[in-house]
This record gives sequence, C-alpha cells and structure tokens, in this order.
Amino acid sequence: MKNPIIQRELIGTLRQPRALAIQVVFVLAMVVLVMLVWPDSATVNLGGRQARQLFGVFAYGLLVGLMLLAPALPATSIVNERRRGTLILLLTSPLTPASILFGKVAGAIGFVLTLMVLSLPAAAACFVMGGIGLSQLAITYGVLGVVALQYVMIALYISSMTKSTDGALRMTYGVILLLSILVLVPYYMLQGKDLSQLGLPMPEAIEAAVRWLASLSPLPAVMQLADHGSVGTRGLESTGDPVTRYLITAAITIVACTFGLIKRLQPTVTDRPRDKGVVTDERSAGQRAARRFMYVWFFDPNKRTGTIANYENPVMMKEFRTRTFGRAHWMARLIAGCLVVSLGLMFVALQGTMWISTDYMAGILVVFQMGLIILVTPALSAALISSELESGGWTLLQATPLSAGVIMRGKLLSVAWTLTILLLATLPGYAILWMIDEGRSQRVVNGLITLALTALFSMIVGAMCSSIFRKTAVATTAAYLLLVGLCVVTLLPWMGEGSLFDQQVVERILMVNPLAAALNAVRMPGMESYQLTPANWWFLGGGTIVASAVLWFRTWQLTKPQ
Amino acid sequence: MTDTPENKEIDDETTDDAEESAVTTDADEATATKTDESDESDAPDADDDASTAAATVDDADTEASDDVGDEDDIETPAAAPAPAASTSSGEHVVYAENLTKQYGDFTALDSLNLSLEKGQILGFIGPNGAGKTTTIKILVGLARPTSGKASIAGHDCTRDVKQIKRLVGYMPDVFGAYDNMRVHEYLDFFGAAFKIPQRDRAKRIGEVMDITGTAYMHDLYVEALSHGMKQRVGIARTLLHDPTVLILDEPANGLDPAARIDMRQILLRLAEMGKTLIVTSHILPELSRICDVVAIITNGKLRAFGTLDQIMQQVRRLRMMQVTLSDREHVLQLSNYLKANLSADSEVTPSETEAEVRFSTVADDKRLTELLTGAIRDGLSIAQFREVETDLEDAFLEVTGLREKVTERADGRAVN
Repeated sequence: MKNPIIQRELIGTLRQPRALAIQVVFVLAMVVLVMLVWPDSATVNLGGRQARQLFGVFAYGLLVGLMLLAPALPATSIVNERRRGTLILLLTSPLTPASILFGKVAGAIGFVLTLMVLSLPAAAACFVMGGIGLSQLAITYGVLGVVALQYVMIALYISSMTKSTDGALRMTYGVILLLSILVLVPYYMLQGKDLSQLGLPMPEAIEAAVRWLASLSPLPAVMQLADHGSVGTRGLESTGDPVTRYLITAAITIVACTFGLIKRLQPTVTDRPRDKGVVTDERSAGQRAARRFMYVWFFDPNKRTGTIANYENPVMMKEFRTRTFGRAHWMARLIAGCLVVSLGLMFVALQGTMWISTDYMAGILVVFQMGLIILVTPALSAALISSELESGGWTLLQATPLSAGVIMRGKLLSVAWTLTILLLATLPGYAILWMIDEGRSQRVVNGLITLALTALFSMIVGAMCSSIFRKTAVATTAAYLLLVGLCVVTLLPWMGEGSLFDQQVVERILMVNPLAAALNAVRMPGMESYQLTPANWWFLGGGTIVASAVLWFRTWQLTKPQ
Repeated sequence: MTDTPENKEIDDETTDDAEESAVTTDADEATATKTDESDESDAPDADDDASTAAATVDDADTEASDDVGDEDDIETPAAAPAPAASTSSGEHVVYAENLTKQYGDFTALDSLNLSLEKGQILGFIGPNGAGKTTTIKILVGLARPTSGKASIAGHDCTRDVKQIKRLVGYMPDVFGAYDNMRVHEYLDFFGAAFKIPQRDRAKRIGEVMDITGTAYMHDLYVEALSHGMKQRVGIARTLLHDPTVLILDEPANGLDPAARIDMRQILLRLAEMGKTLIVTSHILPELSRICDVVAIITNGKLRAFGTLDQIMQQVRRLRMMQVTLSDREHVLQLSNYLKANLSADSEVTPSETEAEVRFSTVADDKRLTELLTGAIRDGLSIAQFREVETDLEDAFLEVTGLREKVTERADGRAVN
C-alpha cells in the first residue's frame, strides 16, 4: 500500500480485538436474522413472495448495521488525531490533504467492506430461495456501499470539526438520524395529499422539495429494492425512481464533504489563536447591551457565573457547566426547538382529518420523543465516568471528600434534569390530544409511562457503558448500539409479520422494544393489534435494575483504593 | 554543583516579611535556601537540620551498604533511615514505615521508610516505574499498602481516608481539565467539592490565585491554558482547602525556564507558609535548589534518604575526576593505566564518544599529581584533568547505579 494512512487505519483497525468482535457479532446477527425467517416447511412459494420478504428483512438489517457501524470509526478518526497531536505530524509531512483524506476514507470504508463481504453468505441464502435476481442483489449491495461511503464521509467531516471524540460521535449519529429518518417525516405526512387544496403556496415546488428532502435518506431506495414500495403504508403515490434520486443526493453529499474535508485538512487550519475567554462583563457598554438583548442576559454563555451554592451538588453543577448542551443558552435553544416542533405537531393535529388522523399524529409525536431520548440520552450519560477517566479528572474527584454516591448522584441528576426539561417541552402535543378526545387519556398516560421508563433505562444504560469502557468514544458507541439496536433491530420481524413470522412471535419480540411499546400504547395504526404493555415496562424496569447494579459495582470498583 | 544567588533567592517581599533569617547552607554545599516560618515552634532550625542530618547518615550508613549492596550491587551512600531516625527531632507530618505494595508477584514498593516535618520539602526522585506514584497514591489514600503503614499529621492513610483528603493537596501528573470551564469555575467546583462554604469560597479562590500568580487567568478557559499556566492552576487547586501537605507529581515537567523559576518560587513560598511538600521531578537541578530532604527510589526500594548535604557527603567520599583527551584513541589506554594504578574501590568509566575518562577515587592531591605525571610520561594526550563538582544528578546516578548504563548507551550509540 503506497498510502501509509490506509495501512495504519485499516490494518490498525483490523488488529483491534474490538474489530473482530464487531465482525463476529455482525455475522451472527445476519445468520440469526436469516435463520429466524427461514421457512420451516420444505415447500417454497413459487411466486417468490417469501424470498423477497426474507431479502427485505435482510436488506433492512444490513442497512441498520451500516447506519450504526459505518460512522463509528471515522467519527473519531480526525478528532483523535488532533487530540493526540498526530494531526499536526500528518499535516507537516509530504502527504497532501487529498492523500490524507483518501487514506482515512479507504481505511474506514475498507473495514465496512469486510462487514459487507461477511454478509454475503446470508445474502446467498436469500438468493437460493429464488424470487430475487442477481442484478437486484448487486444493485442492493451497490446502494448499501454508497450508503457506507456517504456515512463515512459525513462522519469524517464532523470529526474534523469537533473538539472531542464523544462530541463527534453524538453529532454524527444525530446527523445520520436526521438524514435517514427525520427527512422522511414531511414526505410521510404530505404524501398522497393535494397540496393545492391545503392552501399552501407553490405546491409543486413544495412537493419537489419534500421529495428531494426524502431522497437524502437511503430508506426509500432500499424499500424500493426490497419491493416494499415507498415510505408509508397507505397506498401513497411515489413518483420517480428513489434509487436514482438517493444516488444523486448521496453523490452531492459525498462531494461536498470531500471539498469540506480537503479544506479542513490544510496545514493553516491550526493557525488560530487560543480562546481569550473574554467575559461579557468586561466588554464595552454597547456590546454588553447587545448581548443582553440577544441572550436575554440569563442565557448569555459568556456572563460570569456565580459560585456553586452550598445546597447544590457540585458535580451536577460541574456537569452542567462543562457539557456543551448543559449550558443555559444551549438548553434554552433545545427547549425552544422542542416547543416549536411540539406546537407544530399540535397545529397539525388540530387540522384533524384534513391532513392526518390524530392516531398518526400521536405516533409521530411518540417517534419524535423516542428519537430525542435515544439520540440525546447516550450523548449525555455515556461520558459521565469515561470522560473523567480519560481526562484524569476521576483521580482529582477521588482526592476530594466527595463520596462515590455524591459523585454519581450529581452526574445522574445532571442527565435526568436535562432529559426531564426536554421531554416536558414536548408535552403540549399530548395535552392537545387529550383535549381532542378524552377517551384517549389512558393511551396518552400509557405512552408517557413508556417514554419515562425508556428515558430512565437509556440514562442508566448509558452510565453503565460509561463505567465499563474507559474511552468515551467506545462507551458512547456501545450505548448507541444497545439502544438503537433495541429500538430498530427488533422492529425487523414486524416487517415480516404474516409471511415470515406469526403475530405471537412478533409480539414477543416487540415486547422488548420501547418504541413499539410506546406506539402500541397510543394505538398507532399498524401497532394497535399487539398488547406490549405492561410487559415492556417490566422489561425496561428489570433492565434498569440490572444496569444500575452493574453501574453501582463498577463505580465501587473505580472509587475504592487500589 | 554550582550555587548561584538567583538559584536560592525567593521573592524579596516574602524574604523581608519573614521574621527569622533564612537557613543558609554553605555555598559549596549547594542546598536550597529557604525561610522558615519564624513563629512556629516546631519549625526545623538550620543547626538542628545539620546535626540531625549527620546523625541520620551515620545511623543509616552501615545498614544501607549492606541492604542495598545485596540487592543490586549498587553502592548506596545513604540508605532509607527508619522513621525513628528521621531528618530532625520534630513532629512528623508525613510518616511511612515499612511501606510495601505488591500487585500480584510484582513488588511496586518494598519496605519504604520516610518521615517529614512541617515546612520541609522532599524531593522524591527515581526513574520511571520506580515506585514514586505508588507511594504518593498510598499517602493520598488512593491505594492501600500490602503491609506497613503511612500517616499524615497522625492520621492513618488507610483508615482515615476522609481526614487524609482534607490534609493533603494532591496534584497528579495529569492536569484533569474540563471542557468549557473557566479557571474561576474550575476552582469554584473543587472548592465546593472540598466543602468550602459558599460565602468564603470566592475569597479563598482569590487568595490561592494570588499565591500562585494566576489571578489574571480568572476568566480564561482551562483547556486553552498553556502547560505552565495549567501547572499553576493545578497548584492553586491543591491549595484551596488549605492542606497541611502538598504532594506534587512532576510540577516542573514541560515548563520553560521562566515558568520553572516561577514554579520554584511558588513552592518555596508554600514551604514558608508551613506547608510540607513532596515534589517528584526528573529535573534534578530544580529539585536541588528547593529541597530540604531528598529520597531516591529505584525498583520500589528507597536507596537514599536524607538532606541534600548528607547525600552529597556520601557521594563525595570518593572524588570524581575527569580526564579529557585530545586523541580519543588514548581513552582505552588511559582507562587501563588508571585501573592499574588506582585502589580497588575506585571506579573508572571511559567514554570514547566524549574522549574522556571519569574515575572516582579517595586519592589525595599528591597522589593525583603522580597519576597525571605518569600518564603524560606514558605519552597520553591529556588536554584537561579536573575534579568534577558533584550535584544531585551525580548523586542520583551514583545511588541508582545508572551512570554506567548511561555511559554504555552513549558509547553504544557512538559505535552504531
């Protein structure tokens, strides 16, 4: 290999025991997936319906695997180089920014390709069942390869922008969630509607914009390849080829990230002065007035903070102050964002039958809140202990009179408060649902219980990962894998219900899925036929207790004298 | 070792404020000068120091040679005294007796004894992996000894961990910065963690910032500080709860010369305030300028412990001579000549790379003149013949037996 970075990135990655573990788990997951949906009887549907359904589940499984695994390594790649001080060594070497980038991309994509190759036996099993052609298989793998490349490029770009590995992971998974799921929401809501009748200006332009927005997600393309039509299940119209549209948007994303990365890998990127740390109190009168207006004073991140009060847990206050999203101005922005989304959904719900039914609206609200929980909670809790271990702060905390209980209480409270505030900001939508139909009140309560338990479970699982892994990036990835795996992978059998699985099996599997349980609680169409609560609450409660025990044990291990 | 007034000076203002005169050792002895807190009855007196120091060396000397010589064939000038025979007769603030720490089969610390008094500065020296951090961790309460005991101000480091945390200010070799945090917020957090009441905290933060010269960093972000600035903030953090003992792991590491001088002055000022300091460092000339007591540790064993004078005296039992040759091909010939003409306790270290030969000897000036005359008569091209001043670095290399390794490595590189 002429490019030394490829060798270091790829060989270095493959040498890690973690890489082997990922490969083994990935192959096992694929095998289990195919085994679960493999027909029991010796007869095969000649129409190929069963085979196509099996292939669909396999393709979605592969897509989810790529969404979770492809960005994990590149998201920490450049930021790690910067933190270790090796980026400057690369930038001062004869390697050009393009060759550094090529090495990084090839290293990351090489590992993803090994995973895709390892999935080939499972794909072959689908192929031998008939119903799908070799070209369909090849195109699916091609599209998934583009997905992997797109996510690798996005992850690398974010890695070049951020200051911490966990921050890079958070932002990467957030962007991927946005690009893969959230961009579909407007399409899902407007599909099949006559926009001109809704009184919207320039309906054609809006329709085209929404369609192209949805094309940022690889999901419609994969659905097309799996013969599942388009997003949604209501016989919605789907114009154009989603595969081609996705490939176009992916190519644009990849090219944009490439140019952005080459710019960020120029040696002059380090030519920056250190932050002078000027506080608002020391700025000119005009600047002070402007900032007070802009931040309503209270939320000004640069105003001088007061001392921690005697009654406050110092660790909790420290967490709020050091965490980017813990600072008042970010919290205010997040809460405002949640309120806007919630109010928007309320407005849509009030339009009632004209746009979309309240059942769907409740489902969208649940998906929004669940997405928020799954995205935000590991980002907050998976760094609680590991970041201290990494920075050396844990030793300093140990040298203070603070007990392990006070330290952990402060850390967990900092997450719990943030989550509570964020979730409260999204509650007005439920209030409207309650008001529209009082008979829905029990459903709303059940949905809220599921969401609250999910938030608690996610927080403790994140903290547990943080106590197990010494590196924040690994802890954050593990937490995301666990939670996203629980919420998304267990949905796959639901897609094959009827032909591949009977309802009882699907119901049992969905009982561990908090997203499915919450959707079931609010009677979202498609989920109303199951009874997932209170079984799911017991699962989440039990999981929380087990994770708490592990967290307690690890904290005890870490705080006791050696 | 050289001794310059600037090496020993402390802040003029501080010196003027001290009611009692500084404890000054002979310039040639090259020990640190520091003022003692005059109104403290148990503050060590200069004369006491000197006399007790001598006693310690005498007491320890015999045992030391036996103990350590058996271990690694290292000639040990002053071995670790039992705590009873400490560097002074005052009250022990830091006390360790037969401190042993084992990790499985590996002995990280082997029967370490040491004691320190109020206001003393201990220079804790040893190569990487010698056991310094293990000792520190036990003293701070972060590790438990396998056997032996350690105490700070009479509190057991294993049993009374809560009190120990209030008595000790610990600065690890890793700073422990938090993102998005300004210096005053950082100090406020640790102040709150040490339960300093809110009404007193701002004042206390101001005080420690003044002591450490960090007041101008008040609003700067911690992660944006330079290494030297971080080290100062680290010391400010350790001072917040007004600890009796400060344990500083490599405080001068990575500092530029000016920052190093600042650091030295801060440490001397802290000792003046009656703080007992344990300072580890690889920068030995720095330590020699501020330390009252030196402990040298290798492979978990304390090889030497005493005042700088004591250790120097031991090293100086043998004079260290250096002969520089103008023709490096004569190095081996001179080495053989010296070996043939010196007594058995002498050690000859040739270095072809530097075209010089070093040797330690008890010979007096007359004998050395004879040796030099004989060498010149034999046709050896001697450019310089001089006695090497002994400093802490020499003492460290002698005590740890690293001198030969260093020379061998230098020669090996030259050959390669």
